[in-house]
Amino acid sequence: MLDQGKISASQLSLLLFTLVGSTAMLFIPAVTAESAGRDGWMSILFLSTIFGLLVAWVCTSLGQHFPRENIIEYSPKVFGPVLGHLISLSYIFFFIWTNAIIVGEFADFMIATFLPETPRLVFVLIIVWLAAYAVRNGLEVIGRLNQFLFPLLLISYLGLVVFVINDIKLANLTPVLENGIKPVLKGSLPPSAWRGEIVLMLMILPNLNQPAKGRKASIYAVVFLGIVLTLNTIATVGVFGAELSSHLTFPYFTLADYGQVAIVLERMEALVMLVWVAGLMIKIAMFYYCGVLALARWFNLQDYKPLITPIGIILIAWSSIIYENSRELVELISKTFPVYAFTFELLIPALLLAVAAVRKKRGGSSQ
Amino acid sequence: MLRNIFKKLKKLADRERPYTKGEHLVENIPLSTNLARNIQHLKEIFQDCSDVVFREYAIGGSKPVKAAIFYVDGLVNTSLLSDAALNPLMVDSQWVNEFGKVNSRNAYKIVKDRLLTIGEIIETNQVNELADHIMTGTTALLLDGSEQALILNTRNWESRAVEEPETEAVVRGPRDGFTENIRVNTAHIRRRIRTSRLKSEVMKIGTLTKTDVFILYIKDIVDNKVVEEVRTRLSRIDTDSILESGYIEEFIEDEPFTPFAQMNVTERPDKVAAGLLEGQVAIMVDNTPFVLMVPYTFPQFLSSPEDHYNRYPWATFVRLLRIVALIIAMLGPSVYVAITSYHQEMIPTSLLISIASSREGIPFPAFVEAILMEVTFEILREAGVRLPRPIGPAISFVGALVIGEAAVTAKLVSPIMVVVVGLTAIASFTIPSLEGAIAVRLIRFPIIFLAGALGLFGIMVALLAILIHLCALRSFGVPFLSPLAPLSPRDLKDSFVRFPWWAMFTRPHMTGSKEPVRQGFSQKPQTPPPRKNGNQKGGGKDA
Amino acid sequence: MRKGFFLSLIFLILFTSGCWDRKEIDELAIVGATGFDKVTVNGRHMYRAISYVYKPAEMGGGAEGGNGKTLAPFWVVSELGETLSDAEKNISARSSRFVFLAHSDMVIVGERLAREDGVDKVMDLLLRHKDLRMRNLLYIAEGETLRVFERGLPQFESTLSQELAGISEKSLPIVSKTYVPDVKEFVYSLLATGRDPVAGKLEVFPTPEELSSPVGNEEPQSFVRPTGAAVFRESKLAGWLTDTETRGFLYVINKAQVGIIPLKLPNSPQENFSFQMTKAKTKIIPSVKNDNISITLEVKAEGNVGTMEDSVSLAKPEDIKKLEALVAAEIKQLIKNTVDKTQNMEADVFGFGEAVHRKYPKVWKNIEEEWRNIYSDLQVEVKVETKIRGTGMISNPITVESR
Repeated sequence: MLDQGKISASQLSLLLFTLVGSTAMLFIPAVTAESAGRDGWMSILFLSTIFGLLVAWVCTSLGQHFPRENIIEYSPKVFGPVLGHLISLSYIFFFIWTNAIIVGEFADFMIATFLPETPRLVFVLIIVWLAAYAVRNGLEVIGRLNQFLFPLLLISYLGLVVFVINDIKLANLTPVLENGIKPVLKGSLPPSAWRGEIVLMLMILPNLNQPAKGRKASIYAVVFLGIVLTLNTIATVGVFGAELSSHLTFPYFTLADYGQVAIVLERMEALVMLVWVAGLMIKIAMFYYCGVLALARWFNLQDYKPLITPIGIILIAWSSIIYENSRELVELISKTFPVYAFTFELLIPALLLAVAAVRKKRGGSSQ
Repeated sequence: MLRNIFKKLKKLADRERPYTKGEHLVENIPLSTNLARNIQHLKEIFQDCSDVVFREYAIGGSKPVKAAIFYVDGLVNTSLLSDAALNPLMVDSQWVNEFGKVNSRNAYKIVKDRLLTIGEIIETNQVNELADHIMTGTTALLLDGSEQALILNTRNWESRAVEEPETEAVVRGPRDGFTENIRVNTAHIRRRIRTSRLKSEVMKIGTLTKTDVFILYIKDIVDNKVVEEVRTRLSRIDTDSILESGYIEEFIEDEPFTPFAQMNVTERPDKVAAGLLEGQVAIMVDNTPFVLMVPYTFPQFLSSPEDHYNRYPWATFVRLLRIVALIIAMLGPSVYVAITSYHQEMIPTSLLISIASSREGIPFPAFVEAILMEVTFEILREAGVRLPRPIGPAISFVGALVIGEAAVTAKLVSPIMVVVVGLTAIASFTIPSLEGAIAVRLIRFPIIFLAGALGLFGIMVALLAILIHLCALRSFGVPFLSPLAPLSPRDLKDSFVRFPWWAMFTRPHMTGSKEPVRQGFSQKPQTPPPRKNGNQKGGGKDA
Repeated sequence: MRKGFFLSLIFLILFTSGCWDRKEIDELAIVGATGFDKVTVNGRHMYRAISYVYKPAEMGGGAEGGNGKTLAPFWVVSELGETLSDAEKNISARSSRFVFLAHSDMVIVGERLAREDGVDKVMDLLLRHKDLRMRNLLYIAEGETLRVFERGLPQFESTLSQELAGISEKSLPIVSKTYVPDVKEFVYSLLATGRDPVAGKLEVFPTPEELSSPVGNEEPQSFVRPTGAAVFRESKLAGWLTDTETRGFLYVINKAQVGIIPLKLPNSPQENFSFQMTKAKTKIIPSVKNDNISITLEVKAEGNVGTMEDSVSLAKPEDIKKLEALVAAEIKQLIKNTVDKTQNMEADVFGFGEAVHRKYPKVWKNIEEEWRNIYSDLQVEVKVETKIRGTGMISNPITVESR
């Protein structure tokens, strides 16, 4: 194994939570409100949770088949060297491509809301540098960092709901299922794709100190995410109504701006932003780590650290050209990304699992 | 980054300097039976050492045996020397007649067994070893006709009286502190922990200074791996001098490129004792009252020994207070800079207006103002340390009041900035560990720079970088942030809060897992049932 | 190795050339209120933006001025422009400091702009701006906004915006006679289906009519206060509600909490009894029967006897019951009046459409297009239940004739 660091099951669970939660929190209320309207919470609570559970089941099953290997290592064993290596390569592409989108999202958000005149490159550079620093220190440190920051993340996610609780009108959620189930299904695509990001487990499951607990940890993460994200969507729609929510670029952020606690705590958006930056840094570091580790394994290197700088440079460059304006980003997130996501998050792992089961391939004796 | 620059510099430096160790090689010379020759050797070694005293005399009556003593004036207890070594040899030896008279053949044995009335004696037959021992304050006794020399422990190092440590004052708790004398220091610990399981291994480090370094630990509580690690790291040190524990600290720490200390530094014996009982290892160095303790974790950063003596609700409150103070000390000025120059929307309108009116006419941006004031404060602080004791407070007073007041009146800085900097300064003094306070004061500056460049985002970037660094930091293999990350909930009992003593059954998991249970369970005080024929008047009587 | 060097170089550049967004507090023109008007200048329609800027130096502790002359602690700056955003940008051109909107407490829109162009333009401009908070109050000025700012001298606070914000936050809920939404609420109603928005109304006192009567040599000090509410049809101003009509409106939207309702006892020439309301709750119940839509309003009000200027006995429970019936009838009348008026304006400010939509989504689909017509002659039934809990500190009235 390239990284000897071990994480515990609870750390894995928290990592998966941050991984999905940090970006989903910000973008999902708007994306779902646009397609599913006031029923957005249903898409998040039911459909995408089911999808997430499915992904978790497939990934952990693969993990049990190949307890000490990651997907880059066992896909050639299952599919044969040529196809297997191609699949590995496509995963490397997926990790880096997704990461580039996230880095871009981050920079655009900062420009749109906080520092409009600061050059985009500054944000990209800083966040990639921070993530690279974390990746350099390995998964163990990322896990610990996340564990340390998690209470803050949770407070910012749930605390905000408490802050605006007086302004939430649950009547805004009615009528339920006005246009039938179709918009809900459509609206569940992006949150499902997001939830499916837990597919990164395929890379980090071997580092779990108690592999048997992996499935439980991932299921906890998916369900808990479902609850928290649903609460946030309900809060957003409850305060702003479905129509206004879909007009806002960052509804959750506007919510932070709107909420107030006894006059003293007003305009907490900057604080929410701070916590969000922390969560996002961890997310980028996770994708970064997986990309670097996968590539190092693909090239059969002894150490993954030399790849950190080149991939960082690729990330910086790619995130600057991956899309041109914020609407293109929303399009990318809600239309293009789900297609890729379903392929990489469910289709390929499921195929792998099926073929491995049929061919009775098992790993684990490699070390 | 820093690491790379350092490497480059080192490479540059190494290229130009031929690498030789400044070691003075001496060959090992055995002692001979001829006293004159031995004296000759020693005199050569101690040439021009005016503090080395040499005296020749004779033992026994009729056929006196020649003898000589060497010692360093000022390091030995001369009255003990004359009582225990000179008097019996020169006077009493005349009456010894058990094996007949003292002669050059039996002199050594008689002297050693019968005549010397002194506790500790070491024998040696090497001239260099002898010389080394003389330097530590022992007295060398050489006898004619013997190739063994006796080393008498007559050490009497002048030492400061035991005083209350100045750097770590407490309200409640013992007032004694370590001194420069390592024996006094070990005695402090031994008095507190009276078990033979308290071990103290000795090492001599420094080819010239030959400083005594003690490794203290309690066997079967401490993690053997940590002790082994301490031993190997200490034995790897190859230097000619150790003058303070700081030398050792920098040689043996896990991560050299960091402002954070990875060892606890203290002058309080009670703190060392408490650490030892939790499975830590203490490293004592001669000639300094500062003792190192490893492994060092984040909760110790914020805890004072007093927390264990005060009532637990108060101790908990104080610890939480210290966290607030830590945050203020680290982020105070930078948050002010970030909010006033980037996030004015966060300030309540009326406060914003009053800040704005107080800043009206100030020439500098808040960021420059903050740097200016912080540097001024650090200068004042440094001056306060360096100044002679009687003037120190006066200068701080002048600095704080006069300069602060005048700067505000002259519209150089805004009054709110003075408040912020003052608060920060005071908050930084609440951090109980000396090293911790230094680290916090140091990282404050880069954070102010980042806050000035990017606002709150800059602060977050700095905090994240620091956090990643802290998560990766280890002190002798133990993660610095434990028990927070990795989380071990049981150990949180003595971290941000302090549970009552009867609830803390176990030692910290990271250091004391070998013998985890330290006391009986369920010792919560029970109120006894009311006595039947109570109501005794004057409860003080039965005491 | 070289990597580290470059990285440090990049960071160095970052910090030396940095501080792109830094704005010192003393470089800010802190705006307390924002206003917009539509005016005709030389036959051309133009827009005017107004900012009400605080002058911190004159506001707090600015006692150093030795001239003896105190300057006003605010600065009203207005500029014209071809479009709203143009006008707004022109203000920046006149200000020596950055115009900073984040501390604005209210948005005031002129009557003409609201009537002719609609407020949606203003909302779009403001919400696109990252600084403006949705907690801003929205007022429609009777006449021109500029007049409000110029004539509206603060009476108690040092600036108008602070005073108005204080009034709407603390006093209005106690009186329940006027209504001011915040921007979020307004935009929410604007975008919601089956609901028309309402905004606050600002009036300058003394009114021109009052002014014309010569009072004395000195010009009376003018002031501004919120009165009633402004009713919109979609985004355009449709008309005003008076104070009493606003109370009827507040009952329906569940915002009438406390307040005094003056009443006439059956056999007296003038109002001589007042009901001091402490609690009120309304349910909007839509019902659809054979394509016939009707709305039932169930109001429950509670309160005490405020004043009793007549000699009616209040000692027995039956007396109280009689009074309760009187109050109920009065509240019912209040609501009826308001509903009638808005039906005439064809503005569904109560969200009856929304209520139908929520309860009968299928029916709503068919009638959504013609809701406005349906609304204007919608059957609205009002049921009021009142309770008089107590009579205050005294029971029977203190009136001379009672004996």
